[in-house]
Amino acid sequence: MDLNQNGCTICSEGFKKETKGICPFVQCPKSMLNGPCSDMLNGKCRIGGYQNECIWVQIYYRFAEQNRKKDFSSYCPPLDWRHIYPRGAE
Amino acid sequence: MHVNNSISNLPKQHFVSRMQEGEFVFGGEIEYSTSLDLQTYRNQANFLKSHTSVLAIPDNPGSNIFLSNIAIAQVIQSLYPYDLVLSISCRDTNRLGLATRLITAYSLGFRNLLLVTGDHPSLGSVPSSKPVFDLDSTQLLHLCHEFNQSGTLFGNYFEKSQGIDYKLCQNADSDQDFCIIPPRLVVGTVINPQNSLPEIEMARFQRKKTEGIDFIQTQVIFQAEAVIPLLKEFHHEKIPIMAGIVPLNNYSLAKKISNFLPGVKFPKSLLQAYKIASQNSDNSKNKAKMFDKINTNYYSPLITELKHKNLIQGLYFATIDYPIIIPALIRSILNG
Repeated sequence: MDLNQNGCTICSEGFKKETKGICPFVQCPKSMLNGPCSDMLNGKCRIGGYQNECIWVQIYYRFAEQNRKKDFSSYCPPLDWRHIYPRGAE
Repeated sequence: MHVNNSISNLPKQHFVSRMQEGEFVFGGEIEYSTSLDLQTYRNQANFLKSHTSVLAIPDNPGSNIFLSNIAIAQVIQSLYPYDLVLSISCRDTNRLGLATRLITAYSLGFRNLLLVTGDHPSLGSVPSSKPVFDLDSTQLLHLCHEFNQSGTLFGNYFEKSQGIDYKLCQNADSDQDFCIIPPRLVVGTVINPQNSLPEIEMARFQRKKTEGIDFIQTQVIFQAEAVIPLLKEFHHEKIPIMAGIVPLNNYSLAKKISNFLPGVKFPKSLLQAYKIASQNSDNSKNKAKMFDKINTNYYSPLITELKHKNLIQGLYFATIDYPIIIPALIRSILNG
C-alpha cells in the first residue's frame, strides 16, 4: 500500500494530514505520535542500527519546508483503537 | 495550556525544591541484576543513602526482564529516606496498564515519576516481543497532568486519600525529618543535550513542556562542548536539570555499551583511555586505581564546569557494577 499516494485506510485518524503525508503510526518502529524519541542520532533511527531515516525528523523537515515549524510542537492525542480494523469494535 | 512546573505545592525537602533553591543534588540509580534476592537491592539502597539524595529506579532498562520497579521501591522505601524516582516506560503495557501503574505508584507514595517512551524491545533480551507503545511519553505526561488537575484518568474519577498528603520519616542517622511523599505526581522527562539536531530536540521539548514538567534528566553526557549549547537553551525554561554520567571500570563493557547508548556517541578518547588501563596494569588493584583516576579526571572537570555555569542543578550516576566511584567523584566535584 502506498500510504503517500492514496491515503491510508488503516485508521480514520488522519495523521498524514497532520504530519504532511508521512504516517508515523506505520513508519515509526514505536508508532510514536509525538516524536521523535531519544533513539535518534544524526537523523537516523537506532532500531536497525542507525541505517534508516528517523521518520519524525523527516516530518520536521516537511513542516520546516512549509514554514510551519511551530505546528510541529502541537500535541497529538492517543489513537482510538475502536477505529482500527480488525481489533476494534466498530 | 496550564504548566504545572510551579514548586509551590512541593515540600522544601523534596529534591525538585532543593534544586530550585540552588542545592546541587546527587542521585543514584538502582542497578538491576538477574538475582531474585531482594537483599541485592536493599544493599544498594543502604550504600547509596550515604552518598546520594535521589534514587532512580528504572523500568526494565534496555528492554530486559527485571523485577517490577514498584515492588523494588516498596522494598527499599524504609531504607532510603530520601526521594525515589520511578521510571514508567510506555513499552510494555497499554494505556490501561499504564494508568494502573500510575495509581498504584501514587497510592504507595511513589509520586516522583520519570516518564519515558522506552527502548524498543528488539534491542533487549526478548527481541521477539510485541512493541506496545500504546501511548508515547508525551501522552503519558498528558495523563499525569490530567490526574494532577482533576483526579481523573481518561475521564475516570479516582478518590484520593483524605489523610496527610505526605508523610515524614525519621532518618536513623540524624535528627532531621525527611519528606518522602509529595502531594501530587511530580513528573520528569529525559532530554538529550548532545542531540546532533538541536532544533528538533527543542521542538520536541516544547511539546512536552505544555503538558507540564517538574524536572529533567539528561541522557548520559560526555563532553562539555557538545552539551553546553543545548543546556543553555534549556536553562531559560527554569526547570531543574539533572545530568547523567556513566563511569565505567571495564574496557569490554565500555566497548559493548558504546553501541547501545541511545542517541549518544561514546567518545573515542575515553574508550582509548579505558583500553590502555585494561591492557597495561598487571594486578587488579592497580587496574582499579587506574580506572578510578581516569573517571575522576574525565568527569570531574566536565561536571564542575556545567555546575559553575549553573547549567545543571544535579547529577545522577548510572553506574554499572561500580558504585565505589560515586563517593570519589562527589568529593572531587565538590572540591572542584
